[in-house]
Amino acid sequence: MGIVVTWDRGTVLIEGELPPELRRLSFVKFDERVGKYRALAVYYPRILAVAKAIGAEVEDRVWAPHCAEVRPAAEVKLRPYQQKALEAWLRTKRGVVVMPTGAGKTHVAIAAIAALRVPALVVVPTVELVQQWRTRLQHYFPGRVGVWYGEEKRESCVTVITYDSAYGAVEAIGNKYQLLVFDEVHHLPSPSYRQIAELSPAPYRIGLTATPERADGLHVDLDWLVGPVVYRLSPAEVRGTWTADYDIEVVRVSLKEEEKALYKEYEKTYLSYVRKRGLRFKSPSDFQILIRLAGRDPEARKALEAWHAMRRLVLETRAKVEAVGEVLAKHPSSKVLVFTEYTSLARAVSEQYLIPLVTHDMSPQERELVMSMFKRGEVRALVTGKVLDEGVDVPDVDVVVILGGTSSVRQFIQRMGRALRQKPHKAKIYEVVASGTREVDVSRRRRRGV
Amino acid sequence: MTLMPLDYLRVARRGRVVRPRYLGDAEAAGEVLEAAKRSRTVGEFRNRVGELPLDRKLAEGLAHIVESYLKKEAVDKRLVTRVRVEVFKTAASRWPVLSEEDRRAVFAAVAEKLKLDVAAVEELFSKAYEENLAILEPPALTPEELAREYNLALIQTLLFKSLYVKAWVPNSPAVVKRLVRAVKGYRLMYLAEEGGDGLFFHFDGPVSALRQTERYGTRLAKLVPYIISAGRWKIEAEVKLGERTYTFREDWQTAPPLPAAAVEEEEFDSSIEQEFYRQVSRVCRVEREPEVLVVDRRVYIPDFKIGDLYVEVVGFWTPDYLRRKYEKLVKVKKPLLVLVSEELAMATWRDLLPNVVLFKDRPRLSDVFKYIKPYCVSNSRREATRSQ
Repeated sequence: MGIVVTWDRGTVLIEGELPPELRRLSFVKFDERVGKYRALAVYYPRILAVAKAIGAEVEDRVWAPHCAEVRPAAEVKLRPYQQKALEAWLRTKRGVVVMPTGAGKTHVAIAAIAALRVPALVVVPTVELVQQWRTRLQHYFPGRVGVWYGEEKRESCVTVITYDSAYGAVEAIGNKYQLLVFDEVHHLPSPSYRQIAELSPAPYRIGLTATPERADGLHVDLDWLVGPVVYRLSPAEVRGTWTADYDIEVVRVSLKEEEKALYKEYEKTYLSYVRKRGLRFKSPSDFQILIRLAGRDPEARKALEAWHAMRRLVLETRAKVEAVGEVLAKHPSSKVLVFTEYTSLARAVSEQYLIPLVTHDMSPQERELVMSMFKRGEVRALVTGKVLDEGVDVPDVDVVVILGGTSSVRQFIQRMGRALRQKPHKAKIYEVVASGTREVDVSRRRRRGV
Repeated sequence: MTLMPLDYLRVARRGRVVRPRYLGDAEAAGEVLEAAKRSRTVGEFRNRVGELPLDRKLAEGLAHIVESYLKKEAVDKRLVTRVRVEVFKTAASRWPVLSEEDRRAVFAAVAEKLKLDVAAVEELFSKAYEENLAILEPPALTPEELAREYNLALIQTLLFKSLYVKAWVPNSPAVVKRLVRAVKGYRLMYLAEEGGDGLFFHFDGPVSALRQTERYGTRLAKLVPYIISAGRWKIEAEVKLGERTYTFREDWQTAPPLPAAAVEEEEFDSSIEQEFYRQVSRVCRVEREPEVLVVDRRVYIPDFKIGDLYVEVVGFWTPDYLRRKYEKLVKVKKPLLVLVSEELAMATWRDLLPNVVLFKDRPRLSDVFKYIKPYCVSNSRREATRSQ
């Protein structure tokens, strides 16, 4: 008698005589294809808990861990607030830790791995963050850190993986890790990435972010995917003490004459359609209406194309390339990080000033090389699209130039955060906007939350 | 076969039914191919395609396939990276590089250091971008072939969003074997059923039993070439586009021309089988992998058929595989002779299956002849015995 629980590619199968208490669970279903009961792996701890409560005997064959125990080689030293965050999380071993950028969230997670001593999967948004976590983890768990992304797939007791890779790989490796660490956990609730959490049986989960809230409201699902917020530290509590103080300066540039004429033309096409249909855009989801209309109505399609063309003009104008030169001239001894919306502008800046660029279409080798050169100070500036928006630590960046972006407050805070690691002087943030265009409004909206 | 990103999907919806907007004539394909022939670099090709008076998604979809067939210049990526890193370092030592003269001086200094010409340095510096790569040879495709590739890619792209895929194929062991192997390779699941002088399949994945999911769409799409390689085929899928689901149906009679995929002849699984075939075929008419049987909604392809007798050779394999094989064989309910290696035979094989013969090293005709004799049709005329 008793039941047997096994792992099957992101789900668990339950065999044997199932007590009615288990059969009645809403998330347990009979799968006729295999003649067994099945549930998403995320429910595995609850299935065990119910079985235990009713005294059912369980043979647990879910796990195939990579190693029995993960012992830290060095003590993880925490600041007082990091210690508090860890203690709050350890109460249930599930949940989200909210801390401003620069406050050292990574260390809280490393301390969590060290405290639990179980194999852990660390899920991060970009390849740059994979490298950064690998370096940090190596210090505490030498020789026991693996990475899994694009070309490089090497597992170990603690494996760092990108969200993109984890989405697929969880079926194959989900049952090897009892602890999940989600860096920048606000990405997780999206329809595809959430499956990483749903298809993993890991009973222990920790999420890290500066800004858990999402415009689409899906952050409420973090509660069951990872756990509720267990600790929250506001930027005001650490600003100046643990993170740097900063100034924001808006630099206005004018579109070139021929760009202006084009802009006006596109604007006319776009506005005349929007007015004709009486459309109003108050939130990003309202804009979806236009995208949907464009699927059927050729006029809407033209309007949408005009909108994209306007955006491209504003975000790629030559005037912005020139503005970068002025900033570089003004801060000859600073470390400068330049953000753009489109890779074409990033390239233009890179080619003009011979600054390395880190974008998706560059080779991973070059990306890795120039990142470490930038960290060591062998190059003084770096230009990037969105790949460095988050998390990557460049301790002594003191000037950030934002050449374009969305109206998202989060993106703005994240990008600013690159300059907010502790330092003796104030950081400087330049936001370059094209005057007389919609960008002025976009920029105002993203700074509202700061 | 080239998979095409979802951005290029073109479909027509009517009620709950969806159908790709296939490319009917090859004219557009010809224009894109012409653009490739006239372009010196990948970037030039992309610009030319951008200027074609075609629907954007169609033009870019075709271009995507053409790019996968282009022969592009091979650059020494390590040298490119080395040159670029050197340029960036040199620029940093003369920081900031603002004027055109400063810029040229950086390239000159790097050229000197690496012992290359300035022009070579500038060129290598630019080769980090795919757009700057030269096209050595345009694709060796006719417009009609490109249109076929495109139409197949469209079906596959549509299936990226599928919740499940159903298919019908004729009872052809070669086709089914490859198909089922692909299903396992992609970590998908299938159920099979005999019907309509062939086999019906239902494909999805573990999570599909719990909720509707597009999770397996990309992998389901990769099954299409295996299905259409059957010659005669039907596909049906439930596809989620936006918030709604649609049905997609296609078969070999309604589909536009698609690329012909050759089904390779399977090799013998093991030398034991090959040897057995050689011996038996001298006396009886024997078919190798004669047909697909469905047992408990799983497919089972016996190794041989002699008259009406199926023969299965169980060679060396893992205990788990043997257990599953056994469970399958028990349920076949057709005349079956099982040849099992002595070292592997579990007691249950002999107790519960009729006609089990143990063999050492390899099965010999003399050991099994009495079992096959009643089914043996003389093979003296040496005609072709292989099933189609």
